[in-house]
Amino acid sequence: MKVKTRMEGDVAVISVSGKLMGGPESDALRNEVKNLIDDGKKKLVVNLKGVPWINSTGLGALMAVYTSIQRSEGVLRLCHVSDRIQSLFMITKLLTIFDTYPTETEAIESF
Amino acid sequence: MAEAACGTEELILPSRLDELERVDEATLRCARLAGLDEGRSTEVAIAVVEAVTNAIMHGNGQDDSKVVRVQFACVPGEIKVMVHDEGGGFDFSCLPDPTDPDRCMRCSGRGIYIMRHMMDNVEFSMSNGTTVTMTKGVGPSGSHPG
Repeated sequence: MKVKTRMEGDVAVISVSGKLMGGPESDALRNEVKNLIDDGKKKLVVNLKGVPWINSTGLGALMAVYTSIQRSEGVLRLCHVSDRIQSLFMITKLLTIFDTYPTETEAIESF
Repeated sequence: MAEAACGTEELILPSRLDELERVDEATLRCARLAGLDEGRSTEVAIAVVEAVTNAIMHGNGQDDSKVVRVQFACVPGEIKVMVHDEGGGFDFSCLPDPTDPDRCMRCSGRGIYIMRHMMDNVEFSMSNGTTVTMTKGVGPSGSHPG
């Protein structure tokens, strides 16, 4: 899995591509978010355009990211969430937790 | 309306999470061959990926020397999938609801809930390991996806 971060103003945009299934790749995302939090970033967008599907362990990795951002009083947005991932959010009631946007632009502008 | 194809297929996998993509592809293929539409095929794939994830991580402890067997069987009107691991089993009779407000922020515990939501029937049995058997019907049209 690849994780690439860039800044759009004061918003950190993390583009993820590949698999998010609970293996070592999940650590890459968690570590990147930790580094951004340590750098004082409060607004994060995770772009899942490159992630066609995840399993529940990948969901857990996203929950861990969400929790760590929330603890640092930051805000997380997700964008380009595939239909398959969206259906997982829906049945696990995580749609009420994650703020999702169709596009990266909309996610960034939502802050 | 296309006739549903029937048959069996088996995967024997090492206990590594990087095998999940292969499982997903095989499940989608078999579900479509069984006559499930795209939506139902995806639901089966989601459930089977969860079952295999559990088998790899919890059943076999990601031990490469242990295998996970995934058997697909299409019978008229439904697809049946059996996932078997070599683990010691668990108490599946009393699983907490991961959508409960006290649990929804947890990072784990959603796999079986997802399986039960996606499939028509999910059953567990223990004999030389743990087997989960899941079934899903083709639905009212039974039409083959375009």
